[in-house]
Amino acid sequence: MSRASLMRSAVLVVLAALTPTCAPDSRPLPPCDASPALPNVAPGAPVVTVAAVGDVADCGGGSQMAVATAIEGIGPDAVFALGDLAYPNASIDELVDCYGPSLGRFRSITRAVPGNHEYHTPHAGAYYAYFCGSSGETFKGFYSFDIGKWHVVALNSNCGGDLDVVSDVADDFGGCGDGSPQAAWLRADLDAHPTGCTLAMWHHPRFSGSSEGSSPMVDALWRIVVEHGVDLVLNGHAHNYQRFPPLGVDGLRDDANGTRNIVVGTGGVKLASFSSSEPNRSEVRENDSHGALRLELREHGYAWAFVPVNGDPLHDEGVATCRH
Amino acid sequence: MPALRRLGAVLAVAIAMVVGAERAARADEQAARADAWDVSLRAGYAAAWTTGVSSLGVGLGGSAGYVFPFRIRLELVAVWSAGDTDGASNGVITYRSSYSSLRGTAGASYEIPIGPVRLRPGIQTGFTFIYGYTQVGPAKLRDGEPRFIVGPALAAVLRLGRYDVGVAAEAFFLPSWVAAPSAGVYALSGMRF
Repeated sequence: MSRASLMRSAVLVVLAALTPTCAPDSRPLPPCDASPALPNVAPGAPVVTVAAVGDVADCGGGSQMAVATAIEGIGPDAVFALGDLAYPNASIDELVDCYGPSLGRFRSITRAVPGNHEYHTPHAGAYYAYFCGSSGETFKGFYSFDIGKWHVVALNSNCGGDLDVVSDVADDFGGCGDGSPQAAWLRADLDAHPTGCTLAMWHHPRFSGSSEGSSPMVDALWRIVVEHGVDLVLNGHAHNYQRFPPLGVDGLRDDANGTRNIVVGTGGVKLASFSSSEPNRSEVRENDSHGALRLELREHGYAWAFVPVNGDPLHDEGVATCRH
Repeated sequence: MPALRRLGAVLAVAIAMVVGAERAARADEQAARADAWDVSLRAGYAAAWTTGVSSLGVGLGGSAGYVFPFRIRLELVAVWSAGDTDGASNGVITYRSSYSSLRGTAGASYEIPIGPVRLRPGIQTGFTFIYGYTQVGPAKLRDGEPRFIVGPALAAVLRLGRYDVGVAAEAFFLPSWVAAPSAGVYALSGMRF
């Protein structure tokens, strides 16, 4: 090989390495088939079936396909995706290639919240693009909607307390503090829906007995939802299943004025152990099976059941009435 | 008197030896000082652990250093990294995210001579400016904030006359982003003066 051809090859190698900066990779996104209203649910429907789960597609393996099959068995009207939807970075490739074939098959009926892994990609941009505006204003991530007789608030709990995301991540939407725009919006939204059944969902659980621990950074949001009589809070983040009794603002059992909390981080990624240093506030907790939470949202109450993969027997189920 | 002459001759020889030795030492010192400064160019690749859209990747830069007689070397390094661009579109919504970075660090290392090779274990600290944007539909966020970085470095440089060629390996930690350590390897080429 001549010196000139060697030089040409070297230049081509350098140019190829620099190409991404010059010509952005642009892969096809799935079509924006999610309508503003959930398509399977008639407004005011007396009973709605929902599947909820977080911590889903591990691109290096994982049980997300089995979880998707379990959700198909539930036959949900809507899917609530509780964050950390594609590991490790929730990049556009990971969302399309790993989340897409599994829970992505329910994308048109999915309402999602962002987890910390979504913010491994700058500003969770890929997450907002993948869900085509169906999961709140881009870069904000908090929103509300009605489903059947229920009102649902979806919050962004990425408040800067995670070590795996940049510390100023909450600047995008103002954080989770008591005086934050999100907290003000939440108060106003719940004030506008004083009666009926209400569900709130976000990624980081305020209280958790899992190895990831509790998330005091969402304390203000937790207090607001409890004080406003929200009936049920759904979280992910902890890679296991924890169902709590109604808890008050300080995390103590309060059957009269508390809010029930269910953590369902069993969407496919490796399950996590429980912590011996965290107090166990839960009534039921399991970390031996992936699966999804089946919710039946009724006019004056709800029924829950954890549906594990592979047809295992139900691990936990129950019913409750709404607080208002 | 012959004894006095002999003494004078001995003294003259001794003085000549001392002066010669001093000149030789001064010449050595001047030669060493002449080699104390160096500049080099570098090209290589770096990656971070938790980054959906990397601000690192292929990097080009330069450095200038000074080696003190007690083998401590101080260095200034600047590296621009091409980063990465990610994108997707479906006709309704378009996603683009593009990031690059510019790093400026000051470092200190200890120079260990091993034949013609100089091994330089050390530490670097400074700032990296991660700049770029993320756009989803019409919503666009731009970034450009400096982030403090610190980390170990190790370089091995082969001396070829007044020229140096070598390899530098670096790792950096971002205190504002605990789980995003980065590491890079660069080829070096430079000269001393």
